[in-house]
Amino acid sequence: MNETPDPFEMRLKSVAPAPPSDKLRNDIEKELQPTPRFNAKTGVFAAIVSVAALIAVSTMVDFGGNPIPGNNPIPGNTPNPGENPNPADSPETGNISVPANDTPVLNPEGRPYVVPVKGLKPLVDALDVSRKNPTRFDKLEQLQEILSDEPGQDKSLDQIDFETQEVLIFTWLGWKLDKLTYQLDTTQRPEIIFTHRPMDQVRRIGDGPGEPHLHFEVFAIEKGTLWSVEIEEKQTIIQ
Amino acid sequence: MDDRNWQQWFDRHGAALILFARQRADCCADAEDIVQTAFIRFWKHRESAKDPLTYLYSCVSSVSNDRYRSDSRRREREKKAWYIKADDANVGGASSSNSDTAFEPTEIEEAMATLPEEQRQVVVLKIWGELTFKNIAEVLSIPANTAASRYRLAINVLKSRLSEGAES
Repeated sequence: MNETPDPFEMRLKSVAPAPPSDKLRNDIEKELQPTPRFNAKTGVFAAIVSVAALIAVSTMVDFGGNPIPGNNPIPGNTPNPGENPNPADSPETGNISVPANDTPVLNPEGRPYVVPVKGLKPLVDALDVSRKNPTRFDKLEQLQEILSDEPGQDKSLDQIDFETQEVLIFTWLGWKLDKLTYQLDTTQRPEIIFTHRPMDQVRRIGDGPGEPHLHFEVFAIEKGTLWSVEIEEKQTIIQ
Repeated sequence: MDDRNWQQWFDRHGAALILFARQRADCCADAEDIVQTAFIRFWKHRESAKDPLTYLYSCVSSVSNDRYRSDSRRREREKKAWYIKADDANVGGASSSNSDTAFEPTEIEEAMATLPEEQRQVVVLKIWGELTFKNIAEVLSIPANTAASRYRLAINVLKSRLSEGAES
């Protein structure tokens, strides 16, 4: 998956942290220096070898506090410099129409237009977190790319038939009681209307300020079905 | 990088480690003490670590937590627990060509100071430590999605604060 660093994050990163002091470097060096031990057999201090090696190594590095440029040294631990681009196609938004009742409706082939998929856990840094635009996946491989490595997700993937369905993943940062619901409008061409109901921060008496939650909801929808997203006004509940 | 050469590791990651430690430490000297203890622990046991870089930051986190718990003076910590200089712009692999558009260190410091400690830690680990959310989760012993949500929330705040600063 290609990653495009977020310009804002790159600007932050371009300001470097202050380097460690020379004192710290020297203290660590002292601690890591091997303790000399007398080798009775050869009659030499084994430490001489270690010190010689340390001197040899130290000539290869910069003691001036300047960092040695280079890539992350850990194979398989490629840094993640910022927001990932959306790996799937751009979302399509249909016309918003009047929500119909929420009775499940089947298409002429007997399949539901929309089914919530449970048990999938995406890697959140791979998705757009705006409320309005879910990320759309029409291929199994695309979806697999953004799933976390938690066990049991293959079973959830079996719920989806990519021949006839595509997947929408909504991810957003909000408070605990935020809701995302959906209805099917069949007055004209069937259209799924997703509705976000964002809540203001919910506080119970005696509670501290709480922490926003990262929500994600996954839906398998019949290919070619219109869909749209509505966002209700933010509601406040004080309990 | 030579895995046997601690100085290369220290040069590559030292500045970000100090910055990370400073999110909890009282002052720069304390942060350096933490990094010293953590780095030595890391170096002695690195070969048994599954992911050495994550282990390195975990050592800093662990030493920092031990200190925090055992030292009541931490209750009176300095409000500005971190500091950034602009003169080492290539640390962390950032291109020096970004320096034209870079923020002033003081701007970032002020904006970061408005964030809660747990969000600052995630931002430092992600931006300057270059860890993934999965690795950050391991370092801070929190779920990856919590790390991600803290990060996104913090970035939103920083964006807003720093753009306000640019406009005024």
